[in-house]
Amino acid sequence: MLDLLAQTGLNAVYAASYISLVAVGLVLIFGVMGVVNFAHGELFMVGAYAVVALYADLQVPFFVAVAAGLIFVGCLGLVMERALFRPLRDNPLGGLVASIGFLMILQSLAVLGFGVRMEHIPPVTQEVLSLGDKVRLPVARLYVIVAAIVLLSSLWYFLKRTRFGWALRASAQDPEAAMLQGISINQTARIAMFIGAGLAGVAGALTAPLVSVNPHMGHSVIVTAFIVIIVGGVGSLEGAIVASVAYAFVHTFVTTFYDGVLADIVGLSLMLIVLIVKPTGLFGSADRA
Amino acid sequence: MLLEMKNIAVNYGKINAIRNISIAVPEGKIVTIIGGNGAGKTTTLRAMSGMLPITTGEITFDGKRIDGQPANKVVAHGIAHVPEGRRIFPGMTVEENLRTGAFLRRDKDAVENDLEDVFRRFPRLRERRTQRAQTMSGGEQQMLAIGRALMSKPRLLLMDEPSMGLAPVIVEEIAQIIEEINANGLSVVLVEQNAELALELADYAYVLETGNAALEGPAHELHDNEHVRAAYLGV
Amino acid sequence: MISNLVKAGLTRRTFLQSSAVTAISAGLPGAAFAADKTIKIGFLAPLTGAVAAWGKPGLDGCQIWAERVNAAGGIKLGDDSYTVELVSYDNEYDPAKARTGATKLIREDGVSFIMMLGGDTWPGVQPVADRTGMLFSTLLPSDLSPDTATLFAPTEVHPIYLVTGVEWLAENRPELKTAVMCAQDDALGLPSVATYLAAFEAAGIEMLDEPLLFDPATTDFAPVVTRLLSKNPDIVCLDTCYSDYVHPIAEQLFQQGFTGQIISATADFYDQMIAKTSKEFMEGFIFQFPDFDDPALNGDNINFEDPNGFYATYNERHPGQWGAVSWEYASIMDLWKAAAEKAGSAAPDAVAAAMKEGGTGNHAFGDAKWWGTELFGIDNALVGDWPVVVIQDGKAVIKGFRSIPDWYDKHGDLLVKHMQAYDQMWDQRS
Repeated sequence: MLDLLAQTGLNAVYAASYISLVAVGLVLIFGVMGVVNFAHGELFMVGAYAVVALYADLQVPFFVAVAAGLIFVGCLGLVMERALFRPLRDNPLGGLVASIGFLMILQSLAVLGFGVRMEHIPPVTQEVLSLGDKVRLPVARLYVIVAAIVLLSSLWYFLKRTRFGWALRASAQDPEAAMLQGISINQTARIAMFIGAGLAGVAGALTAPLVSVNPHMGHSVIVTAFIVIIVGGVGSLEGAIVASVAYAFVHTFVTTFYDGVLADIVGLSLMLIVLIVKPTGLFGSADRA
Repeated sequence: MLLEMKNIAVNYGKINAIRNISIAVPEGKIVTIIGGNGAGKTTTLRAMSGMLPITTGEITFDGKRIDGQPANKVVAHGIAHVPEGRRIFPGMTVEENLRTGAFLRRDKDAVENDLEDVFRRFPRLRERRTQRAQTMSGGEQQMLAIGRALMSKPRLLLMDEPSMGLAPVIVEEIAQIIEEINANGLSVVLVEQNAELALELADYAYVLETGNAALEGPAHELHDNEHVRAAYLGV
Repeated sequence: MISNLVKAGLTRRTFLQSSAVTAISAGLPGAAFAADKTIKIGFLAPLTGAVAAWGKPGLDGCQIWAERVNAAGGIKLGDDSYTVELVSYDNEYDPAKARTGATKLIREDGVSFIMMLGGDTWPGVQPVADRTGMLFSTLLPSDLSPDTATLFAPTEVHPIYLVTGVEWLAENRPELKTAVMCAQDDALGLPSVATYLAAFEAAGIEMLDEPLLFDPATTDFAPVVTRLLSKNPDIVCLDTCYSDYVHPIAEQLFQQGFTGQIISATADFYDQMIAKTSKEFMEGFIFQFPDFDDPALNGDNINFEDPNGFYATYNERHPGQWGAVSWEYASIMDLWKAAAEKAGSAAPDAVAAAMKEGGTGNHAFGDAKWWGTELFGIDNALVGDWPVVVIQDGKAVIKGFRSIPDWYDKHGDLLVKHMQAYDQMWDQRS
């Protein structure tokens, strides 16, 4: 039983890792730009396809492919900022609708470029860490966990200790007041989009060898991310991380000890309960209108 | 003249918020703009700092045209704006708020010195330096907002209704602070609902009524003006 | 005068056309012959999406079949020869799209017969079938019901053929006593869950846990596999998971250290599975779908023309794409063609009657009976022998053929019991 708990715990930590990367990216974009980026799951998908194209098809070393995926998706975020969100800055609903249109474009491009079948990616490494007799952590999953810790810590440092990090937080909390300190909203939006999109892209890239890569893979990711950020509090980064961990653990344990469908129901029920009891989420506050 | 606004008109969509205003701010002086609600005081200030675009007219600062530039560029010229309602960053600490005020500055050592100055001037802020801004009282937030504005080492400070919602004791403190910083050479444009306070502090005053400057003149003269006394000083 | 010239011109043009076309038709089935001498066959299956592996390869196989048949003179109904042309429609494994496709194939394309994968899409098509009387085939006998006499399952007898694998396993590895199972929660997964449970019970193998049904949208199988392995089973059964699940589940089993027996309905693209795990890990993997270069398919019992040649052509054209259904639809075409030629007509009711005449048929894996009244309410499934395939040294090898009706005679009551428990009996489905 202990082994089972430990193994399930490791599975949960892995799930929490990639979910938190995606959720934090989504919250960052919403917090700074006030827009709900429905295309966020597709940014994850593009990151995965970057690894398909570079690592699987062109034999580029895996981590180079992941880095390239991060940068490419980050730049895609910049394109979205300039073309979709900036012109619709005063119209958050318009931005949301535009992001839905963009997600369809991305999906169609993926289908055109790669076809609808699942992609087979050669394993990055077959090494498995054994902790005790029955508890195992494949190293490929460890990469995801480590990357999440490194990236999220870096983001924390960036937001807490650097000028541009403060500019992001200030813009999220009061954009007009931020402008009065000399902060350029356009520049801040660009930074937020690059980081937010990049986080989704890198999550997709790192998990690509471990899941089935297909043009519709973004769908379940975005649903999970929304549940998580609603539970965590829509403007709060800490909330997103805490909620990701909580959701991943609940979902993984319920899947393992009962079944996957029940796990989905429990996850959604959790979100409903939070919405009823504390609509702004566990860590949320009403600042970001 | 440090700042000059010539024949400004500002529209909010179809609403003509400011019809025609001209304001001159001499260096080292305190200029106040008073008037009733909806007269256009806040709008004038927001036009000065670039938060609102002007429809006609021109604004120059230190001889250079600044109208048409976005707010983040305008403040780079040396203008700081303490907005109506304080608008401190609620989720950030006192210290983080202050340092954000120095966003555009690169002179690290001078920034540290100025931070010390702010804490000296506002001891209560030093006490609360690692506290989140949203947990502070109205008066403390006002001081934080002023401190934040000072951190950019401005030449001109725009203040929008600093006394609003504050107890008289705190208002007194703030008035003293405004005098002090002006004595150190900082030019101030003060928008105030509290006309008594404004006219006491200022050197020169403008009275706005429905988007126009109905009266202007040295503050002590306007203080004795019949119309002003009746309409704004409750006499 | 003019009419003579015109007549000569037309005749020459027609002659040139038909000789060019005869040359091309060896490579293109049903190319522009004179239009009225073509029989169109509908292929309504998922060609894209998660279940495409059980549709698209079948279409590819049928194209090869059609070329062979057309090269040999086409289908002979009475005195006339017809070329065969396949018309495909991608239903994306969605019942609404399948319904649209069926209607289009019947009304616009004028097909004589429609082949389907079946499963969740069948309920969408059933009203069309009942209204038009069109002849349909499915790979899943669990779709059959007495309401639709024109639906047949002439080749694959999913899920009941799964009993053969378990029977072989019990006989050849009697030391394995315990099993667990997982399946996706849908119309493809559930009937085979019931079948495997019956087969395991008949073999005296103990199920350590309820079958683990997972959400078809699952992408991370670690928790599922952790649960499966938690009771240390001898056998892990993958039911009829799509290949998109079989691969990651196998990978997880490998990474979480499973060294026992795996049994599954399919192992499509097993070479990629081996690449993701290892040859040793995949050694002994039991499933039900042979590679057609297997020498065991050259025996007299087999009713499939030149299986080795078919496999070679397929792999030449679609390298690495050989899967469970690559040959099945072509085999259905064999049966359809034989029945149509016997009936002298392509009309659905005539072909249906001819197919079932005598109660037996030339199933790909041997002569078989029309069967299924107890399980399906109607005997429209052609059921006989089925191969058990095991991966040995990285290659799929047929280890023997087992008789499904014989198993059923011995253990049929168990199967009915489990099918009822999962609401999969024909009279329980709405």
